[in-house]
Amino acid sequence: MLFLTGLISHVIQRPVGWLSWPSRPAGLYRVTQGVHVATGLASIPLLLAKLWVMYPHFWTWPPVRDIAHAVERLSLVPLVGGSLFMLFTGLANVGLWYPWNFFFPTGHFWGAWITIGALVVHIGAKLALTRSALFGARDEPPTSKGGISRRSFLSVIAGTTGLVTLTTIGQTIGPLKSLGILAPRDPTVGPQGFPVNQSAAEAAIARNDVGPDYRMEVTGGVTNPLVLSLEDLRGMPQHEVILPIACVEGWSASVRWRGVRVIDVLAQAGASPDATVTVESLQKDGIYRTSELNSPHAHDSDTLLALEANCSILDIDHGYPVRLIGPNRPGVMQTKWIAKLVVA
Amino acid sequence: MNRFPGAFWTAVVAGWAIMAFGVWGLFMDANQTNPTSWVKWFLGGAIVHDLVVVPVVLLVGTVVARVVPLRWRAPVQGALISSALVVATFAIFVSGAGDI
Repeated sequence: MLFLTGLISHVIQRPVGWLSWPSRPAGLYRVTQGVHVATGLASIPLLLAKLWVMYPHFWTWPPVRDIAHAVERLSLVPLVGGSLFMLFTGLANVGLWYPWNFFFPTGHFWGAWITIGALVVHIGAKLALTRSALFGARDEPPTSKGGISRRSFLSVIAGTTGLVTLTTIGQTIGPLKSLGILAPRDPTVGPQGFPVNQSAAEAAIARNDVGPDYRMEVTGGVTNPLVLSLEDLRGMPQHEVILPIACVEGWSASVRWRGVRVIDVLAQAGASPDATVTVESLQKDGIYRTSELNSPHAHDSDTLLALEANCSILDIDHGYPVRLIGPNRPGVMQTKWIAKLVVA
Repeated sequence: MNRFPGAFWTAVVAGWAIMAFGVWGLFMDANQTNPTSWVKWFLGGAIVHDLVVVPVVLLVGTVVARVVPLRWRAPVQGALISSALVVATFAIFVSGAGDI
């Protein structure tokens, strides 16, 4: 589940030719990424308990019985290393902590392939054991020497996993918000009532950049290139839509947005009906300063150049004067402080 | 040995092919993945877990087994296990390590 939901998030952010991520249903990414982070958090107690139970086998003697056993044990290195690596890096990313020297999404992505490959070997190695455990004769449970019993140990692990999930899931499931006492994010805290991941200051956006001289350009494959001021955008037909902002770090919040439809701007600029768009931010650098609107996203009537959020003018930390908001997109692709739409 | 040989070797070929793809990607994207740092964290996790975390837990477990009276032992162990797991999960968020 972690692998699949992670793969979805990766393919949206680094599109491949054969797959065009749809713009509907609008909340799909919110669900897949919410599941990714919630499953990852729940896996931490499960993995640590599993490793604890298996630890005595680490000292098995002789260490290797035959070739198959050697291959099986060798495959445990990427399995154990990979599982710990994936959960630790994912967890640290949710906490916006980067103690390593690689770019998190890429390192986490390739780590996932290595870990899932090792898991395939492990499942192959344990098929017979799993079958006999499920359908074979039951072993007598080991007699307890007065400490915690096997059954109680499993109950504690299950309970702790449930506790971790219940106290964090509120960051993406609104009605459970009050239970989210350990959630890294409260989805209602932030300017205009929802969180900010990268503030204007962190993106090096100055007040001057978004002052009266601000202009948004529409260029590239268009018959009528546009240079629009904030007043021009306010003078165009405004649309209102409720869409979630769903962060890759697992929180999400529904927000009421108001602004100009991207399709209206594209029509005014004379873009072709199957045009794709690169949205560029005023931000000078950073890997997320641009994002792609593929054809379904560019032409979805709910994809807006938002000027307002929750009934007030966008806060500068939410992307004032103009930000992108579209259905079924990761938060990092809802580009803020838009400078340019480049049509292709 | 308790194993289906056909299924096992098929899984080995498939699994190692997938892992090879992962390693290939890691080096293809070397400018972003910085393989030296990546490998350090990938293997470091397993080493720290097996040679530091587990021995510490064993030590604590031994002390608990010796010091805590029998009738209190199971609840104390359960409480310690649960608390340690919760701390391990949330330490990064509450320690202020990250920019959250």
